[in-house]
Amino acid sequence: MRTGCALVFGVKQDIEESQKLRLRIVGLVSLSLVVALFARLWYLQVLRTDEFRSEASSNIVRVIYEQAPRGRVIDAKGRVLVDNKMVYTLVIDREKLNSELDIAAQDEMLVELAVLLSRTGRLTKAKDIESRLASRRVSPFDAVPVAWDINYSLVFYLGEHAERFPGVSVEQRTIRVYPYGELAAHVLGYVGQLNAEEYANRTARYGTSAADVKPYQLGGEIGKSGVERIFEDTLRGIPSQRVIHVNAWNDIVSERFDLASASVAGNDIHLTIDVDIQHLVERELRRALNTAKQQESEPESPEFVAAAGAAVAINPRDGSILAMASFPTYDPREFVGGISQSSFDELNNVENYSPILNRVIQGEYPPGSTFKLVTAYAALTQDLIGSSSDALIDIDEFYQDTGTYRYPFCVEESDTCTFRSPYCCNRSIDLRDSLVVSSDTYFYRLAGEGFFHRKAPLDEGIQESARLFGLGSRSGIQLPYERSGVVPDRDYYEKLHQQGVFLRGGDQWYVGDTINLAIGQGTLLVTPLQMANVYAALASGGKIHQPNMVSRITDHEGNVVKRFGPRLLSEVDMPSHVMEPLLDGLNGVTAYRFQRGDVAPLEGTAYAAFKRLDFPLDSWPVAGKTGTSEKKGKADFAWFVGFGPASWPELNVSHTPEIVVAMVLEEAGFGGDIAAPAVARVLLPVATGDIPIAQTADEIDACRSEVTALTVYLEGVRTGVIKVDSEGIPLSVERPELSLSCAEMVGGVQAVEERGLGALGALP
Amino acid sequence: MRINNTLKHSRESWWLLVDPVLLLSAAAITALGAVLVYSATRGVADGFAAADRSFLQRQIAAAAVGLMLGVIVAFIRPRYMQQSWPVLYVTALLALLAVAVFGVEVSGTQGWFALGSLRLQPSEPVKLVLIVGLALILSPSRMFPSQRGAVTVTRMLAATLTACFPVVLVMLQPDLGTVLVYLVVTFVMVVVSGVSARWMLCLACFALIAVVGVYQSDILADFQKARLTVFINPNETGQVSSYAYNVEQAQIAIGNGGLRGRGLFKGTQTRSDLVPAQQTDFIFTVVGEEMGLRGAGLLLGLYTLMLFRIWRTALLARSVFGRLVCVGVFTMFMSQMFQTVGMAMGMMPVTGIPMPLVSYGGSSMITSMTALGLVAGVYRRRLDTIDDI
Repeated sequence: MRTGCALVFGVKQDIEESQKLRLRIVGLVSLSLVVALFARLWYLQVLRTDEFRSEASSNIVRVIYEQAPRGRVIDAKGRVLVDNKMVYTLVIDREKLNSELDIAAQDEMLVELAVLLSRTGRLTKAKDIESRLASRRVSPFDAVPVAWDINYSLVFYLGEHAERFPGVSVEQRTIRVYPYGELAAHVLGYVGQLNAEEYANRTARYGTSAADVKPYQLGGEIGKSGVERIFEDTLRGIPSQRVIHVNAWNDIVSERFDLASASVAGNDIHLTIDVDIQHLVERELRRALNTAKQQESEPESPEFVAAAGAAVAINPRDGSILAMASFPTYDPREFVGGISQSSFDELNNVENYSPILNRVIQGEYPPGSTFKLVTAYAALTQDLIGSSSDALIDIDEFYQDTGTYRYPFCVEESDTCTFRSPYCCNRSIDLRDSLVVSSDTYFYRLAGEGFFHRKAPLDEGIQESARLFGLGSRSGIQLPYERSGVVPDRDYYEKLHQQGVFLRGGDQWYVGDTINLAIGQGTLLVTPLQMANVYAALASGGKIHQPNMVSRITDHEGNVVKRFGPRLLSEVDMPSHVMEPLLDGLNGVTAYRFQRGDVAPLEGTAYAAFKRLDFPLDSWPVAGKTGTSEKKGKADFAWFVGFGPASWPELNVSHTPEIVVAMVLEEAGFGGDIAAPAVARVLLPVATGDIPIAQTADEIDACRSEVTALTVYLEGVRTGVIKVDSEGIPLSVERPELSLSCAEMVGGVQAVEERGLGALGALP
Repeated sequence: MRINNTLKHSRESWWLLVDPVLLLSAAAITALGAVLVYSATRGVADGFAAADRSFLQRQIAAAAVGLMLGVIVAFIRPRYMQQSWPVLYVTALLALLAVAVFGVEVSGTQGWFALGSLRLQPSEPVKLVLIVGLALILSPSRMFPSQRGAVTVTRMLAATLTACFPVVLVMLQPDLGTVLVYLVVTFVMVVVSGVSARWMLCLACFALIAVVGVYQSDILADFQKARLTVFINPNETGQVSSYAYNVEQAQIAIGNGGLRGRGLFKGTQTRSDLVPAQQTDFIFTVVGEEMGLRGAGLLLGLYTLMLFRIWRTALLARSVFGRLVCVGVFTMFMSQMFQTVGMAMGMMPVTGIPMPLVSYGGSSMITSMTALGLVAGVYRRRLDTIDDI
């Protein structure tokens, strides 16, 4: 060892021995380094190999999904309301664009693209394209779609000049199409791009790896409202899947064909909605609003804005929805390919009366006199009116209606205990008549001396009945964002008071509150659908159904996957001594109460509306109720709810009702003047079995051009540009004719001859 | 006399003149390397595109040229080496100077002459000029006639100075990896030559100061510093993280291989170009991923065997010159192998040097083969009674 040290440290020894010793040390050091390499190799390839193996596989495996076509939405008679269409879509690969063009050249190219798009008839600004490109909703690996349904000549042009548009390509994609245009827009809803929040929700709920999951990708399609949203899981198809191996630059290296799967189209939804009835209801809703607008308002009273309204038609036998309309509406086609933020804001703007709102389920209104049915029901079932001696009022007792009611138990001698009914007269009426003529005073008395005067909890008898009929809670229809309305009582006042939004607490519930409630005013709020349900309960002898909009779901081969039957939620007690006076009264609303003894016949509040149409009430009676609800500072809201064919017990007429229609028109005037005629017009074709066939958007467009052509021709003849001979037969050009269906839509050739382009107003 | 002696040996037992283990292990490493280069460069090679064989062909051609040069070198007498060395050294310095002016740049290093499609990296053969030069200077000879004593300070300084010029010139390219190889080779050769502990210590101090000085100065480009520091701190951002990424991907590739490997031509990391420079500096990832522990272990084992035979030749060498040549070649192979393999496994910082005989690159292949020729020459002369110098 000493020798060794001496050798290493260069004490003068034999140089060769010293070198050999040093060489051995170098060898030893090298050996230890080699051992270190082996150890590391063992560590990486044996001890940690599983970890690295999974990392390696996630490095290079990409799953590419291709959206499957969504299911269709089909009406009760098999007509397609929402379909898919393969279209040419202009897409831009951002990575390629950025790598091949600088910012200035990109701008130039986008402007050129915008010009080309605009030239094909869809106005596009370069800015629109830029904002789509900036979207973070599309994954960086995917091309961004910037224009849908571009025409073939542009596809051809871009193909020929590909070198001028780097990164721009055309893909075939499916989009949603709406053959009936705006029809039932609120029911159908729309699809939009999946946003990060929805993506997180989806994956949180379903995970990403479960076998039965239909995988979502950011930027993919998802139903945002209406049926599209509620039945998202049904409508959504299973995307096709390709598993590819890519390299570090995302070029495809190989593909795992064994893991690939084909796409499966989504299932079809069959609605209970009948396009013809839907079209009819929408048309009459619009017409009623137009009529309402033309009314002259009294001086110093609010204008009839009549900008919004809602109508719903349901089948009282099973609660299925036949039609559902809300106005103002929107065009679901605007949402195809993503709607711009500004357009979307406009649809949500309250100043535009929020077209996006489905007022049938989201509009909360005081029901006005249409609520008297509930008050009357409460009085009849709670022995306030009846034939027994306990009853406050005998069923056959006549009440002298002077238009003023004074609450007899009032402490102070002030005006606050006097309730007046506007536009009234002096007449003698019973319960039935009170519905026929919509006497407020009669109901004031029921509320004051009847309900309010009883001991708690009997004093909230109206509310109890209202809740029995489903008011104050959601109906449970298969549509999103339904509102529940409000049935006010002491608890509700107390709650609002504690939240600080309401001045009075529950102990401050006055007689006036019950009186207001009895005639459907005040803080009572209902949705049109809830009101239709109330009347459907009477029509069906007490059955409260959960409203149903979908009859069945079929897969893409047409096999039924699921059926939706009627769902009976509850049954309200409807004995004949309750039902008969109510039916008698409501039938009288649309007709008139015949003469009984010395009592003169009474005209119902909707009598004029039905009379004007020569409505066949004898064969198809309509039981209904007008309503005029007040809103401070605004014109009255007009209501009508009715059903037919109704039984009329007094006349021994018995029917099974087929349809209930509820309609409300905001700031439009009297229910009897505005709403009742519109509902009558809806019911008339149903009663006569002559419902007009709804036209598709294409048919309407075609008709529009036919009418325009004919008008231009007629104008030409009138001004002498087109020469005709003595018999009116044109010499040079042929006279354009209207097709049969178009003539029907605009009201015949005469309508065009008389009103020219004005005839187009009859088109939806 | 000497010639007769040699002939006698060859007549009686030719195997005493060549080391079959060294040659076979080197041949096996070269063959395995060629397969790995082919695997890394053949491309996707599915039904649509044919495999790219151009890299493989060039590698085989370089190996053939290197083999011929090696055989020639094995027969050159040390005396001729001594006579021609000053010319070679000046030529080497001129070549390094020229490449700094006319050279082409590859990934930040201007170290190649481009002759048409042919590329030459002069810093590779300069290694051999340096090794032979140092061996000449550090062995007792007429040039430095202190016969049996320890290496004098003069000779040590002369050796250091000889190494300095190429080091500075290569630093200008800048090619840090090759500089490190030069330095390690010089250091080990000086140490083994028998310099006294005092001077060894001084040299070590000097080297340390030089390394720190270089790192602090602006001589190193930022990307080189980044490569070095990422080894210490892999979570930096920016360009550094792309080196961290390389290191990470290389380790994933090797780990992905496991015991049996993914199969030749089936390494997903390799196929996906996730690992950079995988036919050159990171070639060890290819064998690691595709052949697993068995293949990578075999390669390392063969390498260890070859290094052992070179080391053994150093021990058996007849002369100090021969011994030092073997030490130089041994250190060159050992340091480059440890650096490239260690780098691929995340043990060493990323530097751009090839794995001798394995990595794709003509200059490296020819240089390695020639170096083996030098060692073979030393082995052949080990039984000679008289050596040139």
